[in-house]
Amino acid sequence: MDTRLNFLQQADRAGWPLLLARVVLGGMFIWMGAAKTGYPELILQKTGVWDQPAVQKAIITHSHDDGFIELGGPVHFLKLIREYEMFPARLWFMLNFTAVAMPWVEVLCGLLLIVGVGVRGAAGLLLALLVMFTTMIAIRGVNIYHAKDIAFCAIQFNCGCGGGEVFICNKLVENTTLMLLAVYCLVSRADRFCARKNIIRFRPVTQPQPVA
Amino acid sequence: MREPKRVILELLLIAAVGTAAGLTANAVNPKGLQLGKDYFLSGSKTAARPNSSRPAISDSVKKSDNSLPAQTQSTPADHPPAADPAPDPYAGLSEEIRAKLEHFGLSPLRHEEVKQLFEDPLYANGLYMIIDAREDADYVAGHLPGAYHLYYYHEEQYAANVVPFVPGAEKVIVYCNGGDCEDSVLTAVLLRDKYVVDPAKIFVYPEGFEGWQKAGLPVERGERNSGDIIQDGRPAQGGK
Repeated sequence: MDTRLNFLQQADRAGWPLLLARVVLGGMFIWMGAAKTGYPELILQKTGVWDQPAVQKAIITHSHDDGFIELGGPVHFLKLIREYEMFPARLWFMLNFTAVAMPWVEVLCGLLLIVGVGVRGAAGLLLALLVMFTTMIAIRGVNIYHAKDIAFCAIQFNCGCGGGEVFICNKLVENTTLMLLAVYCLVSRADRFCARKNIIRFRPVTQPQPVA
Repeated sequence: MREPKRVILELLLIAAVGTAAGLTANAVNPKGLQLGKDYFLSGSKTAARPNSSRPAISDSVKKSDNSLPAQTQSTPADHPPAADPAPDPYAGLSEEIRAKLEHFGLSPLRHEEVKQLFEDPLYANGLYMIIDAREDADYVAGHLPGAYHLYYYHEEQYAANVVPFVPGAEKVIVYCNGGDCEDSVLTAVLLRDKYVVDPAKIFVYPEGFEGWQKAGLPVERGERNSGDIIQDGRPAQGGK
């Protein structure tokens, strides 16, 4: 048992597993967050790339749902997260605020993870978001299951995650994997390949000097 | 004990910076949200139910035309007995849309009625006005020929090209994608409450663009009156 622990600890200290976890987790959140900011869409439209057949094929729209990238601005995201009924109707401003802030928090966490700055803080924040959204996705799935009386894994809806309509079981597996990666980033002791693993540095505790 | 404290402090710091970035990016984004706007009209008061005895435009058209899309075909259960003088204007609609129309006191204008108005020569003269409440990409990809564009969520960017024409119209019909889409309802409420349009002439076309397209009716691509009209996937006669 000790040997196995040592092997895992050694592997962790080498830094490669953490780097891989950071890149996968960070990359996913940059992708999913950026798609919801509206800026990729704006940039593609301003540069004239939007109308290119390859881009049109890749992007999910109302009339074309075979794509794999769902681009939409804050309005699109607002409509999607409204379906979760996160806030009572009278707190509509919280919904607006969430739709505006959430994608950029995701992008920032993703960037920090990849660069290796504030790794634990970023991973902790993503873990909190993942737990919250996975719970809401599961609750919504159960509600649809009871309302439509179909197999749970056949339930498909747009979860507002950036990939268009998804099968709920696939999404739950994906989110669980991402949560495990976030937990690993939180507990890993490696700091190799990290630009600055801790943003906040406490002053070392000094022992009181013995009185002469 | 120091590590959890550090993680929580870093987490809060990152959340604060991310939120600040989001607010800044939203402020400079032409398609950003107005944080102080109640988009889904949560505080809107319930209006009176529309007059369900409103006469249909043409009963004969309803009986003779079979081009209704499958989803809007009425079932026998939807048809009240012939003796009933007040057919349900919501027949065949989803409960969600029906509830929204009733909540905001809006009248639906069903597929056959919209089709009839569209084919009426007075439509071209502006007596009837059709408004597309969908987003830019959807409008450009295809809309009802001659439909104005008023995207509810950024209405301030569209209203100047639409609202001035409303007073001259006898009927204003608003649509979005169809199904459970509610943007047409929200746009109709916007016209009624913000632009003080007479509620009696505002109608929602609940079958929406999907219903129109499924019925194989002509669709205009690009700008309004572009002339790029297709029908059943082919350029229509008179189109480019």
